[in-house]
Amino acid sequence: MCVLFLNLGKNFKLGKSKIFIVEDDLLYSKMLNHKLSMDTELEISIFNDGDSFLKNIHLKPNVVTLDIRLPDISGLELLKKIKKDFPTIQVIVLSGQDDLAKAVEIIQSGAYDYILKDSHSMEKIWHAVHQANEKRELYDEVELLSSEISAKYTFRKYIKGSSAPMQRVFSLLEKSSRANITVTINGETGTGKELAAKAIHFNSDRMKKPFVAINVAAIPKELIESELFGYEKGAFTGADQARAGKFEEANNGTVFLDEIGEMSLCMQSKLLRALQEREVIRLGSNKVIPINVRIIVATHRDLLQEVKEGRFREDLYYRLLGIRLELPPLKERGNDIVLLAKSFVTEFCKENKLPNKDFSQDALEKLMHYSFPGNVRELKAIVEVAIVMSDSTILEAEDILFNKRLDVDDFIQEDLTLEEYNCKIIKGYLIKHDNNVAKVSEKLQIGKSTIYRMIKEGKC
Amino acid sequence: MDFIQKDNSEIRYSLAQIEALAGSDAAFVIEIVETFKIATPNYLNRIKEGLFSNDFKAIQHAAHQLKPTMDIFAIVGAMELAREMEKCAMQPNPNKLKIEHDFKQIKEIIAAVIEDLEIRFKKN
Repeated sequence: MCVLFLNLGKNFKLGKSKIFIVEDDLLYSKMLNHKLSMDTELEISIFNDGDSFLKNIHLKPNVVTLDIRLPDISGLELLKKIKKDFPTIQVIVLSGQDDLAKAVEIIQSGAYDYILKDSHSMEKIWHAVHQANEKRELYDEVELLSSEISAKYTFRKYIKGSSAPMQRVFSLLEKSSRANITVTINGETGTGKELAAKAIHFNSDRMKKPFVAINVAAIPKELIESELFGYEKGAFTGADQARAGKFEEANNGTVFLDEIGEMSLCMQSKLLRALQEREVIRLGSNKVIPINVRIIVATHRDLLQEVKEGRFREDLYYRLLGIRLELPPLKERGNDIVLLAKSFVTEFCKENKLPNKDFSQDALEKLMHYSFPGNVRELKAIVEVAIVMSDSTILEAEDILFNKRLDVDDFIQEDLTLEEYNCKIIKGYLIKHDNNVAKVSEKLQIGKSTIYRMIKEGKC
Repeated sequence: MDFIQKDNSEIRYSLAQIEALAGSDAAFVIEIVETFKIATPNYLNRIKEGLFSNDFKAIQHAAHQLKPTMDIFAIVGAMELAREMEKCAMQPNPNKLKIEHDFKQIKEIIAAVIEDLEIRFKKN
């Protein structure tokens, strides 16, 4: 048995594409090797029979050119074996016989191409190998991105926190990922509800299937049904073509319904039906479409309270109940503030190719004493602004700027008269608009003379 | 196209396809010619043995393997003879006489091509 084994096991350079030629015709294999070797990005290995090829298939070539007639195994049998064990390997079948039925069978068995060995075959193989290689590289890229995504959402790596409340969250996240159960995530804005939902999905056995997030509050009430369940052409004015809904899009994966508490009662009953029957019907259609999705919902509201007050359907509440995951507000996470702030600094500096920075003790204390109404999202924004504003490698307390919020409760703390409040508002607007009275008058819808009078009286 | 005058017949073959692929790599042309000189008689021997032992499967396989080689060297007539032998050997009742006739012809053609190649590359 003659086995020509070129370059295998050595000289493998990162980035080169492995091409295996499985060919018992010595002359043809030499010609093909010569042709393909013109591309120095290809690493060619030749095998004269199926057995020697199979012993090396674990090296996972990108593309295999496979002679349909081999001495020890039929090419078709070998093709089926390759596609069964290594579906991403692209196989180009070469044949000396022009047989249409055979060609169809080969393509149906998963071959990338079927090429007849004639005087033009070298050129055809060259093109097919390059195209198949591109396809394989795309597969690899998708695979890499998928693994990066799942690595990204590894609980303790991506969701940072060592505080006791977060340890409870991690424990529940792990349990939620293992079971195919509905999860309700509660938490203030910016606590990472979508991140938690993604972490559950990308650590579950649905990880390779779609994760579709829908913010119920962001979709107008009239459009939500068509968004969730899709529509047929002509279902309503402007529906010029049929469109699948988010549930269909997420089939076999996970649907994340953020701000579920904002959903109208009418839509809640339609959602309940879809969840109970595991099927959807597109708007303008009678056809029932079976769906298999896992549901994760999130809300900043107390859904039980919403049920008591008649704003949320009791039956849907119990249907969605599942595991309840409470994401703690940042102010209750103690030292996690420091942990997160430092991690945001590293991340931001790396992304923006800046030298890494650190916090002074004063800056950290300032952060620790802030209430973070916007939670982690707000902390991230504060840290990013501090990095940009600071010229030093140490972020000082004065670099930490908190967002001033127009909070009614804060505003009325001072016990002022209505006129005094008016003055305060006008003064604030004058500062905001560089003392441009005309602009403030326009913004507050009051006369310019009123403003001038108040300034003159020293009230503003 | 190269011509070989053999008895009263003319045999044509061409290295154009190989030379085009080789570009300026003359050693590659020689390598392919040498492979041809070794591999082709091997295929012919397998057909001969197949005829001797009535192993038509072996004939079919060897004739099949000859086809691309005949195509690469553009040996006029040989491709058709190889195809005929393969087709004949595939039949439920193969016409052995026809295969023997085609085999004799292809053997002569290939022998003449090899002889010519030997002279040609010896000179160079």
